[in-house]
Amino acid sequence: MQHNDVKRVYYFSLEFLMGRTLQNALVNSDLDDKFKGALMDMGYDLEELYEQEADAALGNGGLGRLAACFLDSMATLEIPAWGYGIRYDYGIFKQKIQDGYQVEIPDYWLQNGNPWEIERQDITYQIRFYGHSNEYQDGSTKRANWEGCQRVVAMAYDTPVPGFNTYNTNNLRLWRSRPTNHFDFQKFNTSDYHGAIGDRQDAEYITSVLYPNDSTDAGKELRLKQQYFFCSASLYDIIRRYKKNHSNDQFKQFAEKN
Amino acid sequence: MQPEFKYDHDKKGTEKLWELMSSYLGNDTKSIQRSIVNHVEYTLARTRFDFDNFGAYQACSYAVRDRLLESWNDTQQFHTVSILTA
Repeated sequence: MQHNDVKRVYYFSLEFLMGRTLQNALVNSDLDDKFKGALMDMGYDLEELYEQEADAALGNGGLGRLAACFLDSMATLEIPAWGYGIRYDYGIFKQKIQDGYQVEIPDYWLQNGNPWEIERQDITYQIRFYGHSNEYQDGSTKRANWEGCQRVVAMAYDTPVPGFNTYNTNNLRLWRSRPTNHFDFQKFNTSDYHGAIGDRQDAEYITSVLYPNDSTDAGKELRLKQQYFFCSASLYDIIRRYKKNHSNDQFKQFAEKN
Repeated sequence: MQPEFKYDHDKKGTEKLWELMSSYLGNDTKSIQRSIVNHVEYTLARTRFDFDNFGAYQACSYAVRDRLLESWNDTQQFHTVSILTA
């Protein structure tokens, strides 16, 4: 089988301020008038439906909006590009003004579900933290094992990114941290319920919040873990995709295709 | 008319699958309404005579997403595998 085997662009960002998808998708594929008419015929106003969508506010401002604009532009220009980032449970806070001061309200944007994301339960990678390396001799070769680490699973969530006035549709792949299958049954059986699920919660914290407060060491560490987590998962993913269509002796061309 | 990619050159036992997946969702009024109502009934498990604006938004979004998935899959295949012409 012949391969087009295009070079792909990967845009890594901790923020993607994509905003709402429905109107953008309909306008880009020139289907807004058709859907408007079809819905009107059923007694619904498309403009009102647009207002039902929660904002995917997975960004703080300029940097996240710029990343989203790059994705939209690359899809429109038919450049094979993927965005990679984090699927936060809580996006940027909602701002309220009370008595002249800013009050921050958590933004749980997934409260009503998200019809635009596709959960890829089959695309997961184990990401490792902490631990130490243990050197050993393998015949004449010196090798090292990574031992005593905390393991977290990265699961992929895809959102299609349609270009304007083209059939080309790129992808935004966001990672969610999940616990490994490991469950401390021993702790559970000795009635240490919180201890038993503690490790699982630690794993899920990684992708819970966009920009956790970093005024403490724990907050600084969490931010570093977020960066490492999504970069590691994305690199696993890129290398897996390359290996799927290339033999091992083609790794010298890896940089030409990625 | 949407493009159709024919890369099933070897036809190694996948003919049935290709046949089943070779058609695209229509974008005429009837097809769009059928898509939306199907999602109301089978995805959201609501009755088609009892759904509010939020239900309509969800069903409409799934109908649009279905169409995006067609172009998404074709795009990803195209970037990996070339169109084979006779």
